[in-house]
Amino acid sequence: MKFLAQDQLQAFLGHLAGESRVVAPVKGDDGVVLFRPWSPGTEVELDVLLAKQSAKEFVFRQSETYLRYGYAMEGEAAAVVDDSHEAKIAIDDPAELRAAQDAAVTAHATLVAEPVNDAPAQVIFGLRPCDARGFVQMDNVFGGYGGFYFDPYYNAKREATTLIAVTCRDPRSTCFCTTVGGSPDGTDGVDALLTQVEGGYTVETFSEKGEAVLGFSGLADASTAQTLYAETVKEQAVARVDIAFELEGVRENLRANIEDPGWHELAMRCISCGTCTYVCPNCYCFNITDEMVEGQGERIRTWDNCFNPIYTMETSGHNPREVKSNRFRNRFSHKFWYYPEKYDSLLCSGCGRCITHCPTRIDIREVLSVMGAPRAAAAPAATGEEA
Amino acid sequence: MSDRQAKIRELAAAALSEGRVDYFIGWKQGFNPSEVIPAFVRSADEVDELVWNPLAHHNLTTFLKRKMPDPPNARIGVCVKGCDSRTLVALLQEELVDKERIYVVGVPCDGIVNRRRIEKEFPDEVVDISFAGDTVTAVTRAGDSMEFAKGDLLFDHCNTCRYPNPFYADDLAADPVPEPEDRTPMWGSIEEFEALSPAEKDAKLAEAFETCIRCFACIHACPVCVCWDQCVNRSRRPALVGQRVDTKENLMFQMVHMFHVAGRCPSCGACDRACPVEIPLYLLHRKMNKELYDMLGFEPGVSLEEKPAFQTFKLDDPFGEH
Amino acid sequence: MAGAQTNGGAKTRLTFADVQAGATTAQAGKLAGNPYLPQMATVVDIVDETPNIKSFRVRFDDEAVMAALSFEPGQVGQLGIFGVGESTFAINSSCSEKRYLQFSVMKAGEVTSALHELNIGDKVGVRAPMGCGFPVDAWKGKNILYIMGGIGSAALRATISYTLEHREDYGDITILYGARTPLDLTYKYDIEDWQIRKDIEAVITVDRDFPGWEGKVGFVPAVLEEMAPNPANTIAITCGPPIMIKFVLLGLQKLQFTDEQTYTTLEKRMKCGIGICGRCNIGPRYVCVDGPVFSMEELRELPDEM
Repeated sequence: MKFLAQDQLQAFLGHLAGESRVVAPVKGDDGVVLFRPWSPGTEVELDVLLAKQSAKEFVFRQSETYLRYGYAMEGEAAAVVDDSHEAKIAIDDPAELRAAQDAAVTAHATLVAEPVNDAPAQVIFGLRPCDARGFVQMDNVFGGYGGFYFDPYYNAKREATTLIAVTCRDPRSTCFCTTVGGSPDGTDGVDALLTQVEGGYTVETFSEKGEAVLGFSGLADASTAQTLYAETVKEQAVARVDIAFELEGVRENLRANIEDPGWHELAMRCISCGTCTYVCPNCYCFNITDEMVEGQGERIRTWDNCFNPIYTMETSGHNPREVKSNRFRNRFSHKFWYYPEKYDSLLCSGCGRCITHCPTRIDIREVLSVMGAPRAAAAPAATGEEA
Repeated sequence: MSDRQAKIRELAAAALSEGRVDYFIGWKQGFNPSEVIPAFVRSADEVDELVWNPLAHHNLTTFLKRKMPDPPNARIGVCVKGCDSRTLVALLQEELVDKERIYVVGVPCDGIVNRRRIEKEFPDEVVDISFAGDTVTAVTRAGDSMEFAKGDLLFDHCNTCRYPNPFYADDLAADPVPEPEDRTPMWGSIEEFEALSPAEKDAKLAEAFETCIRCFACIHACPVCVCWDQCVNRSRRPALVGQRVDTKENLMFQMVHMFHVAGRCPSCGACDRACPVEIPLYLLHRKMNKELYDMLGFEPGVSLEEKPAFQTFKLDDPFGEH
Repeated sequence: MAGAQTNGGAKTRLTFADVQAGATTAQAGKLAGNPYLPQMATVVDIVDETPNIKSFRVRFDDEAVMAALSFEPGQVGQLGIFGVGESTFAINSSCSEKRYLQFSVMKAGEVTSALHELNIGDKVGVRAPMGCGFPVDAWKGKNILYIMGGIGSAALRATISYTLEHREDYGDITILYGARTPLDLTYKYDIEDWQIRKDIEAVITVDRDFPGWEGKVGFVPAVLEEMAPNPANTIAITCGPPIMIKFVLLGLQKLQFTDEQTYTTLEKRMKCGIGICGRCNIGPRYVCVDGPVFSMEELRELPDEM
C-alpha cells in the first residue's frame, strides 16, 4: 500500500494528465458536482459522495459516431440553378431543360463511408466503487461475453481508460451496494483505489493499468498506522450500508410476478422520463440513427431508454409497451432477471442515483422488495379458495 | 400547516369511502423525513400517509393528463396548490382533462422550499427536514444540523407568486391565505438576464445546456406536455431536433418545448425541479410568459372561460398596446 | 449453431466454445470485424410484388464477401440506406441462391419509404446474416405446414425454398397463404410453381371476393379451420399480421397442435440487430439474436409483450 499526501493530490493528477486526459468530480458554480475534464488547479470534489451523473459517458458516450458518409456526384451533372441563383441554362427551353434533368438523374452518386473510432487515453479519477462496477457490468454486453457480438467502439475506449476510485467513507442512506454484491471499498473494475485517511489517501492497485500510476514520485510507502486507518474506514463504511432487500430468488420471483398488478401500483408516480437510466452507471440501451445534411452525414448511436414512450413503437403503430407499467416492469426486470440470465451478473451496482434523481423518487429498493419477493397471490390454494 | 394536512386527510377519506374517486393523489413522506413524494391512496384507511408541508412541491395535475390515469377511465381525487390549480385550468381550457372525472382539493399555499438549496449547504446527505413556524431545520446523516429562515429558501416562482389560493377546487383544505392586491405578474430575475448582451446571453444559455442529458424529465414532469409518443422532440419525420446530444441540439430541444407550452405554462416550476442536472429551465418559460403578457395581456390558466392564447384569435388582440 | 458468420466470413461472434476455451473479449476484438459496419452492396434487381411491396435483390460489392456468404433459412439481415437508416428484413432468397440476397420491403415508414425510391445500380448497406433460423435439420422426416398472411410470406420464403429443394427429407408439405386481395399476394412466380407441383399442397386464399379471382375466399384462420390439418408428426410455422398470427395460434391449439410443434418468426423495432442495444427484447430474449424464430413453447415462458 502506498500513501498520497493531500497536498500532493494536484501534482498526482498532473502526473496522470501527462499521458492521458483526466476527468474528475468537479463542483460547478451552481453547486452541481459532475465529472468534468481536469486541468491543473481545478479543485476535485471528494466530500460529496456521488457526482450527479455516473462516469459511463466517458466510455459509453452519449452521442457517438459510428461512421461518416458522403454522397458525391460523379461526372458532370448539369446544375439547373447554381449558387448564384442564376439559371445556367435556358430554363424556358423545354428540350434543354429536359436534357439537364435527365443528366442529373442518371449521374451516379458515389458513396464513401468511413468508420470512426477514436479512443484517447483517459483516467477517470474520483469515481466510486459502484461506478467502477457499472463498467464491469456493461463489459459483458459490449464485450461479446457468452456468444454475442463484440462492440469495438465501447471496447476501444474501455481499454484506453484507467479507473481510479475512492473508497466511500460516508455512504448515503440511498446506497445499497452491499445488497447487490458490491461494497464501499469494492474493487470490481477498479484499477487503483484511494482511501481517505488522515493527511491524505492510501493507494492500492489491482491491475496493470493501476500499477502504472505508481510511477508518480510523490507516493510514499503507507505506514502501518495509515494502513490500519484505511482498513477501519472501509469497515465502518461497509457497516453503514444497510441491506435493502433479499437478493436470493429475485430472478425467479420476478418471473413469477410478471403479470402481478403490483407493477401498476409501483409505477403510479413514475412519469416515464428516463432520468434513472441516464444517471445509472450501467444502463446501456441505445438508439442508432443517421443524421445527414445535404449529402454528408454520420451514423450515430445515442443513449435511449426503455421508458421512452416510443422505445418499442413499431412502424405499423403497434407498441408492445404502450402501457407505462409495462415499461416500468421492463427496466427492473432487465436489471435483475433478463440480464442476469444472459450474463450471470446483475445489472445494478447499488449506487442509488436513480432514487435521488427520480423526479418522484421511485425507489428501486422498494420495487425489488415487493416484486422480487414471493407474492401472496402467486399460486391458487389447494382447496380451491381464492388466494 | 398541520391543519391543512388534517383537512386533506379528511377530504380524501370522505371521497374514497363515499366511492366518489377510485384513488386520491396527494403527497407523502419519501424514503426519509427530508423527502416528500406523490402519494396515490386507494382506500380511506391509508389516508394517514398523506402530508402537507413546504416540501410538497410536485404539481400533481401531471398525473391527470392523457396516458397517466391507471386504469385509464379512473375517477381521480387530486390536491392542488395555487400554481397547480392554474395548470388544471389550463388543461381544462383545452379539454385535456375530463372535469367530470376529477375531484379537486385546493390547498392554499405559503410557499414551497427549494430542497436543493438546503442540500448544497452540506457535503453530507440531508436525512431530515422539519418545520416550526418560519424556521426550517435540516439534519444530516452524520447528525449535523442547520437552521434556515423559510423565506430564504422559497423557490423563485413562489416569491413572485400572484395566485397562492387555488381558484379551481371542489373543496379547500383551509381558509384562503392573504392574496396580493395587485395581480400584475412579477417576473423576478428575468430582468437580469434581459440586461445581458446577446453574446452574454448566448454564453449563459450554452453553459446551461451543455450539461443537458436529454432525459425528458422536464417534458414528462410538465403537466401541459401531453403528446407522449407523438412528441415532436422525439420524431424523425419531421426531425426538428436530431438525436445527437450536444449544446446546440439541447437548446433547440428546450426551445421546441418552450414554444409548445407557450400560452399554457402556468409557472409551476415542475421542469426546474425535475431536471437532474439542475438546469434553470424555468428561466426560458418565464421569459416566454412575460412576452405573452406584454403582447396579449394573457396569463395562462387564470380563467376557465378563456382559451389558451395561441388557440384563439381575437380581432381586438392588443399586441402590446394594453 | 451455424450462422456465426457475418459480413463475408470474418468471424464476428465469440461463441460459447471460444469463451470456454479461455478467449477473452480482447481476443474477440482482434478476430472480429466491426458488426455495426454495413457491407456495401448494389441493387441488381427490383421486383414489384404488390402495390406497396417490392423485393430488392442485392449483391455485395466485394466478390469475396459474396462468395463466402452462407445463411440458414429464417435468418435476417439489416438493409439500409446511408443517410436514412437500417431496417431488419428476412433474407428471403433461397440459401442455394449465390448471385444475390433478396429482401422484400413493405413501404411503411422512414427507411422503407426511402428503400422504395431505390433504382437498380444504387448502393445500399447490408449486415447479414443475423439471428437464428428455423431448425430445418431437426424437422427432417416431419410434415411441414406453412401458414402465412400478407408479407408474412417473406419471412418464410427461404424456408419454403429449402424444404422444397430438399423435398425427400420431409413428409407432407402444405402451404396456406392468404392476402387481402389477389393484388397483395407476393411471390406470384412462386405460387405458380407451388400450384403446378404434385408433391405439395398449396392453398391460396384472399380475404374477400375479388373480380377475376376464382380461387379460395376466406381469412387464413378460417381456411385453416376448414382444412383441419392433422397434427401428427407435423410442424406448423406461421407468420403474418399480428391479428392473423393470434387467430392462427388459437386455431392450431384447437386442432391439438402442441407448443413444441408450432413456430413463428417475430418482428420488433430493432436497431443494432446484434443483441447489444437492448431494444428488441421480449423478457429475457432478444428477437435479433435469440430469434426471430421462436417456438410457441419458448414464447409461453415470456412476458406478453408481443
